[in-house]
Amino acid sequence: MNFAGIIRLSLSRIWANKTRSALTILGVVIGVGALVGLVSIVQSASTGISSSLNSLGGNNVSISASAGGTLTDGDAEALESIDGVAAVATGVTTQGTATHGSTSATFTIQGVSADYPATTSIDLAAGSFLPEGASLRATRSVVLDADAADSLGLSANDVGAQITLEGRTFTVVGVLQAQTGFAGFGGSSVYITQEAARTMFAPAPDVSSITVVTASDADVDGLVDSVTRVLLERHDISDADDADFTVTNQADILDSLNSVMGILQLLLGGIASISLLVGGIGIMNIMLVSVRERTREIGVRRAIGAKRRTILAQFLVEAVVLSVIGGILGIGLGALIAWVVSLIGGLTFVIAGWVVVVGLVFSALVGIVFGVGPARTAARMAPVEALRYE
Amino acid sequence: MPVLSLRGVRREYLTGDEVTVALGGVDLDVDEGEFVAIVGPSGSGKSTLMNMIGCLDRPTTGSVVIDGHDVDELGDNALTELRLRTIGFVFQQFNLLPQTSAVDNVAAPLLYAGARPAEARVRALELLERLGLGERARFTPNRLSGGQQQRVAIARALVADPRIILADEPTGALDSASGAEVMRIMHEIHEEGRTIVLITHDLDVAAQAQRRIHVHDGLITEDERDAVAEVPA
Repeated sequence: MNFAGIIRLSLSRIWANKTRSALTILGVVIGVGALVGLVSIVQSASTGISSSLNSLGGNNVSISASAGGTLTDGDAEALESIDGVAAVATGVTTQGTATHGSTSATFTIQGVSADYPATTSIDLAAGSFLPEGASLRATRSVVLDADAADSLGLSANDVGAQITLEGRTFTVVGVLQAQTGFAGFGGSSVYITQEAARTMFAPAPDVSSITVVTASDADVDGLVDSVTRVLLERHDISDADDADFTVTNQADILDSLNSVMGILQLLLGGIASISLLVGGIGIMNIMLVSVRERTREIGVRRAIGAKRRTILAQFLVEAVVLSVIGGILGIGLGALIAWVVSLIGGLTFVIAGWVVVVGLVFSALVGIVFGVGPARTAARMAPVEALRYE
Repeated sequence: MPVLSLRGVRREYLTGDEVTVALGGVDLDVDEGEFVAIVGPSGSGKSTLMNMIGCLDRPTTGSVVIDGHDVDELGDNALTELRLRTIGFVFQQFNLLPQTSAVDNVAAPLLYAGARPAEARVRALELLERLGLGERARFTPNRLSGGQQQRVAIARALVADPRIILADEPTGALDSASGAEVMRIMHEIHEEGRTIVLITHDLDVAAQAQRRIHVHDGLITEDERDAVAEVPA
């Protein structure tokens, strides 16, 4: 009998015992469903986080002061001459209270240069970003992010409104669009010019962070080394371990995020595999019962010309077909779970092709591993004894 | 050359430490085209003899030669192949494949022989029509009467065009009318030139054969032939 015939035979046997078949594959459905679902949820989360990180500024290198050190405008200027640097922006960051009418709240106040938007991917919902220069108008302008506007009872329509920031009056010139997903986890920020920030918060350090935007074809790792070398020289530090600043780049953060997510996927996938194993045992159990019940049928098939290997194939294929059907349903179930979770969690639903392939391969493997025992039992039966079986 | 030849066939079974002798050394030749009945009470060893002739079991000692092939020299696959090409089985309890339509039951041996499914079905349908079951080809066994089931089983036995039909009490589970019909078909098959070996405890059925071999306590006690049966050669 050819392979297509054996497949047809298995399908008709499975169909003939619908209820039993359905209950048997339930274990595999749940196992593969858990595997595909959990892995996809982790993947959706991880995709969301990395795209948020990317939106914070592709291949930026950020330098922040640490260990009591300070950064200066001079440092920033020195970095501009390094090969592969496209732009350098400095930032002054502190906490402060803003008030609008009777509403007040605490925000991260970011003193930024006018080219700040070029170093990050923020989008304006209304108005414009901070004006250039140190005019009175510029130093009294503020841009609110969506969260900040919201907590002050303002919206994109309120460009032109006056708010009080640490005792000074500022005019809202722009409101940013709300960040989706994980990008908003930085809390709410208000943006003012560096000049304003330095006057207001002196004697705080001139520069609390420097952001270096790398040219698109630059070797980021090499650039990080150059930046570190230049700053060490300028700060008169000979041992890099004693540096009074920290250099981080987005790629590193993404790398470590990916490795954490990879471990998480492996862990959850491993747990899900245990339920797949249990599903396999269920299939083996039913196949053993089925072989016993069909002993006489096996005898008849042997008598009318079925070889041992044909009987083996018949039962093995039946187990594999059962578990693969379970696998296909499980992939559907897992995708559904991941979709619902991403809908609830506000994640982008992602289902990777490899998860589907792994789900199918695993379920087929379960069928083979747990089907081969019962199938061998069936194939080894002596025709005479099988025919005599009542 | 006989189509079926047994020499000193002995079959012992071991139950616990007790050895039961089911066949105690049997010599038997059946020529092509013979209609032979093997007769004996239950427990006489006739079923064991049938298993030997049908290549379903191997003798403890002695030789079984079917259609020129020594069973002892054949492996399991070759033996299955020999069974498939040479012997058609008809059982007392019909032994049709459950939940399988009549036509698929009849086609099964051809599929095991490697035939294409479409061709196998055409051949199966032809045989069912010849046996008056064309209308019921799609029925599963549980929707067929005993007599109809046995006719399906006969069609299945014939489908691979075997030289020998081995029937084990084919009328044993049937009413007399269905039984008579089955025996009529047996005669028809015999007239086509096939060798029929029929196992029965029913002397009336046995009387319809040309040659009766009586088995008792695992030995052949009598081998009687109708004078007419000797003629065709």
